[in-house]
Amino acid sequence: MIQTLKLHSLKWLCIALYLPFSLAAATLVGTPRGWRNIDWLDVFGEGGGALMVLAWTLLILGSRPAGTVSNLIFAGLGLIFVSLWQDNIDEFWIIPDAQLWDTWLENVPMPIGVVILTLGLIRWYQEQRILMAQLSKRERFRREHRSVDPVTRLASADYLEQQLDVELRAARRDQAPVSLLLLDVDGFDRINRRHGVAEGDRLLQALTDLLLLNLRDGDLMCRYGGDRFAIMLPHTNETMAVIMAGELTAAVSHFAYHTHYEGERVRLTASVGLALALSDSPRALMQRADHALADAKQKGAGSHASAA
Amino acid sequence: MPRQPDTDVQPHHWRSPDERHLPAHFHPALLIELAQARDVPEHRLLRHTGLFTDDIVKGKVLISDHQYRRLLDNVQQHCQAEELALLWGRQMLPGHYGPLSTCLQHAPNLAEALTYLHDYRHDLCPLLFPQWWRDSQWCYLLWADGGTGRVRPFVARAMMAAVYGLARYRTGRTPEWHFLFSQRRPANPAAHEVSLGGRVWFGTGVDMMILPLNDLNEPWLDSSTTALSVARHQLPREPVPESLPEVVYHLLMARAEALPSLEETAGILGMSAASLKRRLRDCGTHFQSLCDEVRLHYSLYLSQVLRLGTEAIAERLCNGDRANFRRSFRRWTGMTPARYRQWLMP
Repeated sequence: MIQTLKLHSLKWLCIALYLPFSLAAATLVGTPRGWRNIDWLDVFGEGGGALMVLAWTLLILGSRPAGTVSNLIFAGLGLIFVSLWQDNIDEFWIIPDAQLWDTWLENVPMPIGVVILTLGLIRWYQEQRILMAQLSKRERFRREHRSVDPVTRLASADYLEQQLDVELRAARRDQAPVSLLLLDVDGFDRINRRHGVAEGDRLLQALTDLLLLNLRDGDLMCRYGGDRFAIMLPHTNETMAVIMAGELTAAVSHFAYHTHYEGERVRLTASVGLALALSDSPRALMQRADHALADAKQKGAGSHASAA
Repeated sequence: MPRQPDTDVQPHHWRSPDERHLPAHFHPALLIELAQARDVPEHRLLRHTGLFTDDIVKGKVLISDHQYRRLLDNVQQHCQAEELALLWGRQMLPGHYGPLSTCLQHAPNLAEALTYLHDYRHDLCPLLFPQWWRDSQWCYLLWADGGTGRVRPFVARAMMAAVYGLARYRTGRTPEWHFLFSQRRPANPAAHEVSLGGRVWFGTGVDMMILPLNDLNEPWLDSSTTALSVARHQLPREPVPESLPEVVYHLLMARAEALPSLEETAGILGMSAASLKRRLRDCGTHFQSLCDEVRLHYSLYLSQVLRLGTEAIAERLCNGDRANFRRSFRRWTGMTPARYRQWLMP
């Protein structure tokens, strides 16, 4: 988060400068109310509101790269903050009515801020739709950040099980089978032992990107565990699934991965186990794919096999 | 193997959990490196362990069971702990631990590798010690508590992956073994199946691997007898005492059919019952759980190796009170003895 916040350092500087400036202006032109005349309920409402807005700004900017959307959101929230803060200062100092700037700062930034924030949110929504299209093969229609694997950024096996459940129900209804491929990198242990786990992780990330490029819209890829990936192909019959299994194993064996430090070429092959179902439980389908994968491994590296 | 009550053990030496005996640059360093590669911050990893990476690199630091457990506990807090344990285990053996690793690298078969693992368990697996039984077809490799405390799931996963990883590395194929874990079913059981290649069960009350006898005795290629015998001579000779829970485990196992009470056990060890209680607590365990573990292991030994029926086992363990035996067995494992045998045993 700190790294991301650094991207917005200029914006933070603006807020940091505004705060002492507003306090200084109030002490110069206003007269203190005295502790007994302060309405603490107002302070709680207005000041607390201002601080919450500041906290939102922090959370949102901390999770976003720089860009138009970030700028708009910052500007909107910043203006709302200025209004609330100025309102709050009034509780501590009596500022003469002749000081027009105070009334202006209290009332004008709020509506402008709300409009700008709304614009920012609309842009954010558009941006999110583009991102979702990019992520659709990883997550489809549901996002659970807790089940995302930190290495490959793919969802894990329990998410796959949920999605299989949904798709199997659809399969029964539409009488079009769901296919499941389990893809396992051959001899991945040796790669980890030879090049280290950090290199193994990098390889898995690269492989994830490669495999995703080979999938269609509507397919879902998850990390099943270790060096095994699960790929769900909804509405896919056996002929098509076998073709895709062949394409994926071919893509892996043609993949020229080079290690990060030495630039050494790592030769890769993957085996694929394939199973399809019309009305089975997700777990049984996964188990059959697992058996098929064992058969594929028996056939030799880089082959694929279908469940009986 | 359970000894009979007449062959009495006299264990008066044990390793204090604060005794520094385990070289930090062995597998603890491997775990630290792995965790750092997976972005676990160093301060969180080494919190309350009294360890500093700069010291470990010098290769002179010895750590105690206590520090080791703390380190594992810190890693176990991490969200990827399950995967880290499996990853760590798969790379742990033969490792880079001097002559010990050379022995594992050149052991002629798994049976001999296991004897190194057992004889140097204070270095290779100080918190969870291995023992194995054989029947005509299978080898049952059991892991018993030597003071794991909270980190048992983590250690059990890592150690089973370690033995499996060694066999896989030396044979170059993927053996199909059975794995029984005492912990409950984790969030992502698939990762275990992928890493351990075979059939995996959870919530079974024991940490055990079951492998075909052929895999135990299958000759491992690429082993050099010269390298092995030289390394064997270089192995450290001074014995490191067992941990207290292990001492108590053996003592109870030798009397499994009529378990001594806490007071009697303390008497055999030459300490008061209160001291024994406190010392076991320092090791992250307590007397009753050791008793339960011993009785469960012994009943599995009777049923699998001696092929006794439920009635005969109840006769030996509970003075013939079958209902009592069933109830105890259900408490340890969550199922009846017959169902356990039918479901989990090959």
